[in-house]
Amino acid sequence: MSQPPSQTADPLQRSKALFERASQVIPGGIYGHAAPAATVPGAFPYFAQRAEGARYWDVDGNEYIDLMCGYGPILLGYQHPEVNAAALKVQAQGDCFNHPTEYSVRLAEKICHNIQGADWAVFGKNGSDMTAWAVRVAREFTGRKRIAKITHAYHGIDPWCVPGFGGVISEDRALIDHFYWNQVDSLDALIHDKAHDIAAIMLTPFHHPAFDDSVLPSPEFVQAVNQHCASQGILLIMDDVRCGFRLHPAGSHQRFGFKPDLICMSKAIGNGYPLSACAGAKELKVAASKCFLTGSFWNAAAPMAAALKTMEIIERDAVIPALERQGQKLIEGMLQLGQAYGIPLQASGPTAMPYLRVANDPSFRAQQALCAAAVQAGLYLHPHHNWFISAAHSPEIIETSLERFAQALQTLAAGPKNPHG
Amino acid sequence: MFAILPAFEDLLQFSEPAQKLLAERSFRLRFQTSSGLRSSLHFAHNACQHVRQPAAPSDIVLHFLTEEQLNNEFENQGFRIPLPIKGAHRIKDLQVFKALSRALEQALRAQDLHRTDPTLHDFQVSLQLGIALRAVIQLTRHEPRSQRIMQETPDGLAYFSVGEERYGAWIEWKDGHISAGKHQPDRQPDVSVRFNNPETALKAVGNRIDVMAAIGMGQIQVTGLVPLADALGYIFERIPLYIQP
Repeated sequence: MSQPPSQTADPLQRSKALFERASQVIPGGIYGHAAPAATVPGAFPYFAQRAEGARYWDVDGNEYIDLMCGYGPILLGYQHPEVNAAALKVQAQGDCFNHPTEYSVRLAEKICHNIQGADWAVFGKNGSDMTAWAVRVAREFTGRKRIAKITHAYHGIDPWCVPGFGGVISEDRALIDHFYWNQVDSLDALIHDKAHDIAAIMLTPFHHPAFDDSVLPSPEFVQAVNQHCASQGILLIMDDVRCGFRLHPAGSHQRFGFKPDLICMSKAIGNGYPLSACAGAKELKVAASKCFLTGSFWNAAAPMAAALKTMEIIERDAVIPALERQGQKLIEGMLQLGQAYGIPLQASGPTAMPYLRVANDPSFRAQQALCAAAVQAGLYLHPHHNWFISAAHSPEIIETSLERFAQALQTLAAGPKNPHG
Repeated sequence: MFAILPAFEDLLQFSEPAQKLLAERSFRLRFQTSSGLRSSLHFAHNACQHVRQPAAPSDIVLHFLTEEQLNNEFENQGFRIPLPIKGAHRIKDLQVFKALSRALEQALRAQDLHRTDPTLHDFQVSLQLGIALRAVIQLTRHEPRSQRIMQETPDGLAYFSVGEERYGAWIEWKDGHISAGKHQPDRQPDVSVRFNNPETALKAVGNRIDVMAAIGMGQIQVTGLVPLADALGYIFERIPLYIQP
């Protein structure tokens, strides 16, 4: 019988044993954003077994209410019956052919209809596929070389933007410029110096760096970005990979007023089925057609069928306002609990993608201890990364989440302990 | 020059055989390069003091035409013989220094000391980690790639330790400057990195271990401001490009 992890002696025994095996045959054991080093090793689960709705179970049978949603893709809830049925129906006919299927056409049409500013679309598997390709399209269209991005913004794992330093050489970054989110002066200065050679500015709809609060764009910043791009012939690439389909049905840029030329999407597009898309303005279609783009699995029909169904449900069930409402309840409840337990907390970001952390904790030690305690109580919170709300986070799930969060606060208030378990 | 030579201070402080080698001799030995780098060792009273960019004259001056030649001398490889531009006649002092260098190298390179001589092993680990710590400082101050890494890193104080608070050392990155010291810092660090044993620590600073896997298995524990530890970790891993601590 599964249960929250706190009730067994070594709740992560199987996870840890599996990780030891993994470390023999996989570099890092687990790599990328799911690496144990990214959370609190020893306290967080390492491997998943199954999931349903707003919950998942790790390989030790511990159950968690999930506030990361697979790092974003799970928009409607794990194992959504309608999305799964749509995908499996198509899968039954075959999924990897020599050609794309009609689902490519239907999905491109749907994206062009739904997403403001999209006149065409292409598909891949991951957000990185699309952000990397969008950079090439911008260079092809403008004839310029430089790409501007926000300091500490994440846009994928291509050498021009990948976090970390392994395997990255100075030449990979020689044509990349940085400026600061919401600091119009820093953008103005960059434009003043290099506008003539900047092909594109790549932005996320709001700033969601790791190890820091989320920050929404100021109206002045949005205006400056739009104006500079329009007046200087610079393309605006909206990296909507993380936020897409959670903030606005026509694209997250619509929520804040950005006017992108290219929009990259992934994560929530298919409720967990692997798919990414890049949509663009009609003026760029010829340039886009010249930028070679392919992948063995990129025409797979089942994820596209899943995406079509997901987008249908988003509209039908008014998913986005529901995410905001439930997220609001969660965060308000957490802040009140923090106050009650004498642990000041601070929240940032839109309520459909909130980030909450212990206030006055620049080293994140208290935050790590809180999230480790929350995970042990059966509530999966990431200490350093924004969270995600799904349509499966019902009022009942929110209530249970708050109960488990209270348990975590109680543990933290009781005194310091090694968060690594 | 600035990472390894200071290890002679530790050698003379902790090693009785090294103290016996020095006996009562007293002399100043300077290493210098054509580019203007200078570092001297003052041997006296059975101890050694390292001085960076010394102003006072030395009894013996060994001149290296290039930094590569100097590094070759430390790594015992390639063309490395310096020009003794002063004090070449001080044969006995030079012999003593050569013997001390051999003692230092033995202390650094001896294998399996954790099984055969725990006390010497303790000293070996301390020497190697001390060299690694100083090497990180030098890389951060002078190597372009390390400088680029630190430019993207938040300010903070990192504390490194092995096992139960042994071999503690801290590194602070603040306002574009790096500093370091031994033992616990005066304030709570922003990030703590604890290696479960000396072998893990030495493998980590020598870029001979899968650090991410080690963290996942609890062999290395990182608590607090992880990006700072991450960046310093990258710089530690660059040390073997220049020297083998």
